[in-house]
Amino acid sequence: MTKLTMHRDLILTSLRERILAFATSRLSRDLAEDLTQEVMVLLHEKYARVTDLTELVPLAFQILRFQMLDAHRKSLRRGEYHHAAIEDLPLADPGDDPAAQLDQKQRVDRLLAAVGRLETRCRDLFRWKLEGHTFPEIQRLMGQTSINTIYTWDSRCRKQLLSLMGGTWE
Amino acid sequence: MSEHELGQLLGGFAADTLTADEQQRLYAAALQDQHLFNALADEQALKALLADPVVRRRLLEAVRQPVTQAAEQTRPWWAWVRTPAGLAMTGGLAVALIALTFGTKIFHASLDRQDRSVAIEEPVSPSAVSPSPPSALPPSPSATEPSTNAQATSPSPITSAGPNAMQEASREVRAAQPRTDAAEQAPAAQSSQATEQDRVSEDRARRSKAPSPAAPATAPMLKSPPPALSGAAAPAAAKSAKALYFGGASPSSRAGARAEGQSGSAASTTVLGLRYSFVIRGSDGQNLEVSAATASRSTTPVRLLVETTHDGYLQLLQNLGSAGTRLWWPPQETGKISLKTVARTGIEIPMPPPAESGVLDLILRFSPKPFGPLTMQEVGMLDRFSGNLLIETVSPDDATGPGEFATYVVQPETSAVGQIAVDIPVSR
Repeated sequence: MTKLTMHRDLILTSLRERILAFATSRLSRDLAEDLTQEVMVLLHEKYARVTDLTELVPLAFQILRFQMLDAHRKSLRRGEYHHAAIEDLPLADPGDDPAAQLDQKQRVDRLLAAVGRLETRCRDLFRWKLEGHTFPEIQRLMGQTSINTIYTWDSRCRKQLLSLMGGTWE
Repeated sequence: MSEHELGQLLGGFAADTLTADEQQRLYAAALQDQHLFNALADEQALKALLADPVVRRRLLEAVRQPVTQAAEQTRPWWAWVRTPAGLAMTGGLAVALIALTFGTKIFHASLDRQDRSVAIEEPVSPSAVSPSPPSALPPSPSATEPSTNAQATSPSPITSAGPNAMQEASREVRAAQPRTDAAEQAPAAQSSQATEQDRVSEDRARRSKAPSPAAPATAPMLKSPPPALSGAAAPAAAKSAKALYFGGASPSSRAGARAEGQSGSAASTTVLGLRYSFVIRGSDGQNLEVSAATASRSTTPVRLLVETTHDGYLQLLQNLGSAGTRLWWPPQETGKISLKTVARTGIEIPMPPPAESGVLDLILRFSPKPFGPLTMQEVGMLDRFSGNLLIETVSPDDATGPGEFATYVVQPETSAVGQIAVDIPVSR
């Protein structure tokens, strides 16, 4: 097993570059730069103790997603999409966001329906992954001699599930 | 593991089931590859869903259930065709269907050919054709009986049909012509010098298998013989084409009747036959039958008088040698390739002019059924139509004066072919 060790600053530099490019592809340039800056500040200040690549990158993805959802909500509130009068919008609830809850519920329902339409092999693969089995374990469970076969099957099943979800996980 | 293969780990990223090594390589690659990074960022939404224990439990319950009916219904009915097994089955069915279709056609065609061959090539036993022993025959046929003979004609590759079929048939005839022409050249040289009597004698000598001749014909030239004649000729019916023509039983049918222990009905079967003669108009206005040699030399118009045993269809072809064969009668103006005849009723057909070579060779065809355009298969079988024919030429006795000059052609076998094709060499 090859252990790749990278310096935290080097990882953060690469992450900033990738995050900015990703955000720019989804948001305006100014908003993308602001969003990237917020993510990096959080990683520097709040998660300064996280240094490992396998922890830092998923953490960055998680923060990035939250920041993008937040930016999306802010845009909605500012009327950037609908140009509605600010007086007509309800006051922000400091508790759970009903819209987010509804969005989450609808996403889960879509995912459940899509999973129910998967082929048998994909259902098995998905089930074993939900049960926490790694790919090598799934390889043994499926009696395959090559791990690449499992990778290929899982990739196809993921694409099938994504297609059944309508092309997006959101 | 290449970057492409690393992309296959996305599913494990969302489910958080990647091993430490897989995570290390995937994340390191994502920092170097923007596409992979974007994919992981998008996958984060699913990862967030699956990270929720409640959602994870519900999903597990969903995938542990058997495949829902809805999942089966989402697949179109023809989706199974796209599977390897479906493709193989579909291809196999298509091949089997094609093989069955063509196999059935070929099988029927072979059965048809077999039936025809059996019907045509059924051997006629000599005893059936000549029930009386040779010793019972008159001692000297040439001296006591003028010209009663029977023979099996030589194969005649004659074809006829519509214009197109005629062209095709002509090619077939040309291909087979050298064989027949060569065989006919020798008698052609002789016939130019032969007298009428010589020709009859030559025919008699040529027909070595001829049965015992019947008595000289006494029937009126253009009338059917009286019923009593059939009865009188009955003893010689088995070996006389003339007798068979006038109502004698088919030898084969009689043999079949004996074999099956039957009698009566089978023996009364009338064979398929025809009678033809060359006629010229006499000084008294009456038709006068003449020999083929006389007809070939005649300066007055000569007609071919044809009479058949059954209602049917006639056509007359002219063999033009290397130029092929043409349909002479019915005339082209009629637009038909054969004309209907009534049994025992004479039909007069004008004679065609000789071919450029001076040879006048005709082929008379008769069938109870209308002729259609000849197929290549039928062209090859024309010689079989004339292979088993009994042919008997009758000439008048010198003592009796002018009388019958005719040729009787019968098909002794009551075969399913039901067709006669006879070669009529007028002059060679």
